[in-house]
Amino acid sequence: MHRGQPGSKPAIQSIIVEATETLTGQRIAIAWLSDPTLALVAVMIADIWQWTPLMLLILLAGLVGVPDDQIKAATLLGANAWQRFVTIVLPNMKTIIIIALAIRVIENFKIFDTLYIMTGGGPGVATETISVYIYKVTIQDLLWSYVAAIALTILIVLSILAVVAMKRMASARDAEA
Amino acid sequence: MSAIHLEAPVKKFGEFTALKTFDLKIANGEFMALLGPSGCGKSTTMNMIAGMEAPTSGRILFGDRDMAGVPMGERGVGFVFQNYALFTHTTVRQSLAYGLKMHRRRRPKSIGACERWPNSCSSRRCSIARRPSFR
Repeated sequence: MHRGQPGSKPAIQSIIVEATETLTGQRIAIAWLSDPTLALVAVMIADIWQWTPLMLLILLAGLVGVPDDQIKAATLLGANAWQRFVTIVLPNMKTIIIIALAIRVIENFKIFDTLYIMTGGGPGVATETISVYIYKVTIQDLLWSYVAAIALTILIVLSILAVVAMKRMASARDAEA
Repeated sequence: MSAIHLEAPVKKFGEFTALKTFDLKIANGEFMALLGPSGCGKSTTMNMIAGMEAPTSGRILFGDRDMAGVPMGERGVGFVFQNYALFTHTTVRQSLAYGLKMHRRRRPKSIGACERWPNSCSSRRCSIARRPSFR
């Protein structure tokens, strides 16, 4: 894409520049993907943009599942909106929050396409995640056994995380049963 | 003087009239049962006394006080829901102490013994006991 090719900026960057020029009348070109800090911010924005709808849907499903009569009972007992949220809504959503977090954590470990398209892990190693690193070592350095070890380690770490999340879910479910 | 006085309350949901006007006086300490066929407005009446629904017209008085606009939590009404609405994520002790905690009252020591989950004891009794007796 734009790396090393002057004049060929990614379409999204051009759109932002054009939009700000139309709105402000000045050409404000921010080097979103060239500056190490801004590149990380840009990648984060893209990732949040990509994943927020799914997280919203998952959490909304959990929110809809909170028993209405429990909320009414809490209101009758004098709880205000914040107290109802903390003492009734959040504990009832515990399982769904753990699921959403587990999905996000696992997805973050294997995030690749967004980074590869936007920055390729750069500038330097500013946005290099473990999956981009594995790809680079595999393609560029051909260290097959090394990357296999890394991948296996990730698998073990994620498996442990998944087991912990499932245990927390099971204990939350048992308490409610 | 009645403890609770329902002065011609009417409840309408759009065009549908859920509760037609009637008068009801409940004296202090009186045990009152509302009986009637399904859809006659028993639950609506209870909901209006508890403050979950506001009457479309008419008044609800606690003593001499008109309860119009008084929030649920400030009415001091105990309510046993049809399915008990127990807090399944808390122990019985935490459930019973909930109202006191919300009103920032000191928790009575007698509650300390009930460190069990609601599913392991009588839902009805737990639901009745949840209403804190302070006013």
